[in-house]
Amino acid sequence: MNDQQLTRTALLWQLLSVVIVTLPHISHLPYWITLVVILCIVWRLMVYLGRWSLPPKWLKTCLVLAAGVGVLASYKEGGGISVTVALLVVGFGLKVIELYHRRDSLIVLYVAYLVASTIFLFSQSVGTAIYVILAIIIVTSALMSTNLSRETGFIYPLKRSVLMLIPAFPLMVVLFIGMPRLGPLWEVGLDKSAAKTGLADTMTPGDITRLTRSAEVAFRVRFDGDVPDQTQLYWRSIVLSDFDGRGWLKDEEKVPKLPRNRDIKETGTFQYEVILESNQRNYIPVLDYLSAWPSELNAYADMTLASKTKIVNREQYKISSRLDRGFGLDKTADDFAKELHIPLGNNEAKRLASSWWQESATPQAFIDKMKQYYHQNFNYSLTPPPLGDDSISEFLFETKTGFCGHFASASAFLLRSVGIPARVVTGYQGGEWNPYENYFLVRQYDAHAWIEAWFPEQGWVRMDPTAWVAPDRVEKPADDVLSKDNAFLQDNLLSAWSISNNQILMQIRHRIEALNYGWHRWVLNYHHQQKGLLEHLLGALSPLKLALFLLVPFSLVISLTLLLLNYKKKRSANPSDNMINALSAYFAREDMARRTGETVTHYCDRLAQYKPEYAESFIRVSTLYEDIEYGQVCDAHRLTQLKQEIGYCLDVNKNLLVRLQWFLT
Amino acid sequence: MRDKLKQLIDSVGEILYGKEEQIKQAVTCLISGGHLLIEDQPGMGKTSLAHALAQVMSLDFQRLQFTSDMLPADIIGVSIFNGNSGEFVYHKGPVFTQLLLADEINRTTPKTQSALLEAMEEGQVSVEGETYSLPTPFFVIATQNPISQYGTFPLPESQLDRFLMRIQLGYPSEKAERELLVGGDARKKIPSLTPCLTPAELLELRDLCSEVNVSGSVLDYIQRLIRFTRDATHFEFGVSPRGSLALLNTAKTWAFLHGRDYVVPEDVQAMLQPVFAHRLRGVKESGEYAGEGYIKKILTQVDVLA
Repeated sequence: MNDQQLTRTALLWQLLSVVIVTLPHISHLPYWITLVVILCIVWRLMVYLGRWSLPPKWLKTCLVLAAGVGVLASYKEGGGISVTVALLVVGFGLKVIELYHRRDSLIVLYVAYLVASTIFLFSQSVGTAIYVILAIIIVTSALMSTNLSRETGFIYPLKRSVLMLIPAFPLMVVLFIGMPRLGPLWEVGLDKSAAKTGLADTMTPGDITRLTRSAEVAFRVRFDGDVPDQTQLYWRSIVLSDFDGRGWLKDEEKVPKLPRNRDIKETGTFQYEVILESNQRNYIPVLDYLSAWPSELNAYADMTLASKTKIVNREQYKISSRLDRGFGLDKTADDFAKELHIPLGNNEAKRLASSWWQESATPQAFIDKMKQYYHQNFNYSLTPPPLGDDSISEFLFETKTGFCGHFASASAFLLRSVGIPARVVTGYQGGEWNPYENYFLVRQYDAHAWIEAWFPEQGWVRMDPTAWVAPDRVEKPADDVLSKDNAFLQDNLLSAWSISNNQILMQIRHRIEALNYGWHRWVLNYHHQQKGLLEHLLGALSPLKLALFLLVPFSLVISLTLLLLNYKKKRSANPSDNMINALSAYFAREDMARRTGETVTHYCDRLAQYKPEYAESFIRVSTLYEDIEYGQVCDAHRLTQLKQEIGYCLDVNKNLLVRLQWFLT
Repeated sequence: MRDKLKQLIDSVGEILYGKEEQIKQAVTCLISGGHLLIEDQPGMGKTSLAHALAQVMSLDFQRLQFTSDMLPADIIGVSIFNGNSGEFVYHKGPVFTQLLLADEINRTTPKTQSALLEAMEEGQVSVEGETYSLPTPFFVIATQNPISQYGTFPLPESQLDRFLMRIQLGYPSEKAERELLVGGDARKKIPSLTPCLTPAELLELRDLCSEVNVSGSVLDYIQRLIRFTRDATHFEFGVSPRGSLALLNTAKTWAFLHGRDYVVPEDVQAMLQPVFAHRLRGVKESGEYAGEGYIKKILTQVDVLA
């Protein structure tokens, strides 16, 4: 069987499945591997068309060796599992030129399943999942076509495999819901340090601009209960208190940890769940100001939250915050040596600050002056001119054009110059509300920088200098405001359309986003919900319940499928035949089934002898059947009569199950 | 008509005790218009049966003893030079009759056996470019000894396929044997049997039988049987379309003989052994035809219901 040559239809199916499972890998594999796979497929296709012949053995050996060396050379710096996948794909491609016997095709197809599943290592979106399911259907069709010994139409294997896979779907769902998790499969060491963007530990004024070019999702937030106002959505991520004259740095000394507050549902707080995309850093964006957080995270005195390790996978955390609470009240002005430090340089700026300070009676008046100054002379732009060494002075007196980073940096500097402790906070601001799934979507271009200043009795107070210049930036979603700027998302042509004001497009975008959100929450991060969902479904969990939850649907689906197959086989189009079959099935339990090849007349005679009390009925059954089937006097009346007679013989009214079976015929 | 048939069968039954089933089969074969092959050991009453059938059907009857040195000309006739007219004149052979009893047909060489091929299938004989029609009805009843016996030539498949039925007589039952012993040789009674059927009535009967109704489910059954012989691995080759027609026609006649105007699967099953057994050859045996066992296998593995 395995030595048989593949049929021509089967070969086409093999090639199709090879193409479909390698296609998604093209983007991350070295280009020469794609070329090798294409070459192999073309070669095999030419053999199929009778133009070329299969390659000789020495050539195949050379190709294998060359491919091995090629993979080693391409991944000299290492690449984790990518190397393995590359090796798998190239070997898989090379096997295609050997595709001749059924044996070869089995190897190719089993590997195809593996290659299809490795697609998930690189992407886990809804689209990928749909694609992989389609690929699995194609590969199964190829397997089907390999096992069909005769030539069939091209579509036939597809039909069969879809029919076969349909019963597998409910099982897939049950396994997904009930199977205990060992962490998702794709949490393997993929080398993706360069893949994602996020906030850096330092901030020079131009930094945020880099992020505004990215429409990548930073995180999603779902609120339990109340949702804060858009202007309150400051997602605090990193606090920068060291200023070196040009850029802002994170505090080098260790910020003390916050004592733990376990009461996540404290009154007056907002509870929310952050689903964070990988950012290759530790920070976790939280609303001002943190009140409770999961035990596996560290919270610091500057009200930031961080994970103990780099966030390399999508993570999900339940957090609560109090927006009305101030912090830092227990400090005195002496504690702020760092927050008051100003390096040398930027003398013009310092002079400006002191002149304002002399004119103002209170710190508030000073701030108002600052506000006014910005308001009159400044432009908000994503593409400000570059700044030199005295960045603050240059910004304040020369360029007067900048982005949130510039405003935050300058404002913090001015405050420090007059002895008000101040620091820069970076994070995200706002987010896009999705009405279908009720969550905020925060993208990288929502990245923002603002400042905090400390006043006695008030503690740390948040101020957003950008809002003084461009209030829209805070009140509306970032894309509404920024889209007027040419630099916004300039590297991302595809998302440009989605930013438009078109209502329908907006709606579609929200729908797609909602779908993605559901996908992340319920499929990719399902292990977070699993316990809750299972408890919701089954009550208190026990191993027995879990086993039953898995086993019952399995046995149900399998027995239903078997029953259906059997039913289809047994059931003929002929109603009288069906009745005789039912009769035979009933008496089968008494070892009086009709034998293969036994005529109905003979069978009824046998039954009449077996059950003499029904003899007359059996004889009538046989006569009626003969009339209907052979005498060609098939009328509805006789059929009803036959049904009645057989029903009588079966005692249908005595046994519910028999009645049910009888009803089904 | 049916009464006449019954009478006919009874008359033959007076000659051959306790073989009613075989007699019915033989009559079915002749009414269906086919040739009959009777195979059994010597002395089982093959010739008596053939003889008696010819007598009761009042057919022209020729008996031909096949021997190993026979030539085709001995069967189909020969052209002889007439000295007076200076021409060759064709002298008809024994084949020109309504019922030809080919006794011990497998004692002659295949060459001579083949002389009957055209006559049996086409009802005509071609000699030296001239074609001569045979009388209607034309039947061949051939008898043969089992092939395993000495001095026999197995009939070629082409020849076998032309026999509608092959029946075996078998030993008589205890009771029939006793009757035979007490009653003496029944063969003497053959000439005194009263003919029950004229040739014209025979043809009329044939028409009546062909009008017997066959329902779709019976046709399905017949097709399943035939497909089984072709697909199953037990046989070297399946049944030919001629064989399937033979099964259908004999089943019709059998149904008529049993007083029905429609065919039931039992009719088909009854005809399976005589019609199929000589057309099939099991894979393992060589020369032997499919025995009882193979037919039973067909019957028990092909279902009557769809």
